[in-house]
Amino acid sequence: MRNKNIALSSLLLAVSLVLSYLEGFIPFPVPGFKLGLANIAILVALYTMGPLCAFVICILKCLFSSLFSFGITAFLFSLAGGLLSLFVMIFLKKYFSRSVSIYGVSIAGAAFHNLGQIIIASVIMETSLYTTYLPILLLLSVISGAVTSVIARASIKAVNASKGT
Amino acid sequence: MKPRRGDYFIVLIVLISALLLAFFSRASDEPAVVTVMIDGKTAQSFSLPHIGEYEFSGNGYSCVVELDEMKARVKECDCPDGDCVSVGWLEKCGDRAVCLPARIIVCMEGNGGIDAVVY
Repeated sequence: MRNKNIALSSLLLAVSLVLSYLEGFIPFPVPGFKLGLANIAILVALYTMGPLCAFVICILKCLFSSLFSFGITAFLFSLAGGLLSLFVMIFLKKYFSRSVSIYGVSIAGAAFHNLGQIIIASVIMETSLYTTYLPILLLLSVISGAVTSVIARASIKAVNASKGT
Repeated sequence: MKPRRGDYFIVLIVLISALLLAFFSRASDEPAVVTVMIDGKTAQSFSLPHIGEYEFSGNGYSCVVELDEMKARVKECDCPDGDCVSVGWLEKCGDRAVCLPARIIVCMEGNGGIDAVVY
């Protein structure tokens, strides 16, 4: 069981890195907006192995993906967004699992991912950027959160099926 | 699996906060001043109308800011993401072009400076 989790964790880390690298090539008219496809891997980890594995994958993903791109600012950005969204998702899954399914968890995660990045951007720029970008980012995060949750749900089914054998 | 009640609730909360934020950022006055900020400090302000091109640099990158009568934009920038250029023309009060790598902000302001700052 433990070995299986280690194997699955490293697989999900690899998936999240590839997804976050690939989505850099998808052009978007809104500055700073990402689809958040890497959140699929985090969601799968959270739902199949629990918060700790998801946390480790999230930290490592931020670390490695900023190595691919450019430096410490990128690392702070992805870490702030990633951790804030992960904590919200863990919280919702733990305390509201009766009324909130993976769809809501994913949408809330996407929204807080954007919020975390805007907070860091505002801190770095020493200016309030909340009203400038957040409305459109929140709107888009509902859509992207819904899309990622559908994909994650299908993946979780497959993972659980393979665990049973 | 069908979405549960809490899912709709979360969507509603996110959409309402987006609407509220959009409402607060709504522009009211005519733009009067274009301010270029580097590292959170005002580097230069231009009273509108104004025509010209100016170069600013910060954090190892440089941006060309173009002003054309009542509007302004980041015309060129050598930053890696290019988000500041893709924003395009700033025309309304409160519009901003932000270049995170260079830490440069170009913003449109009314007569009273920034009229609403929400923290």
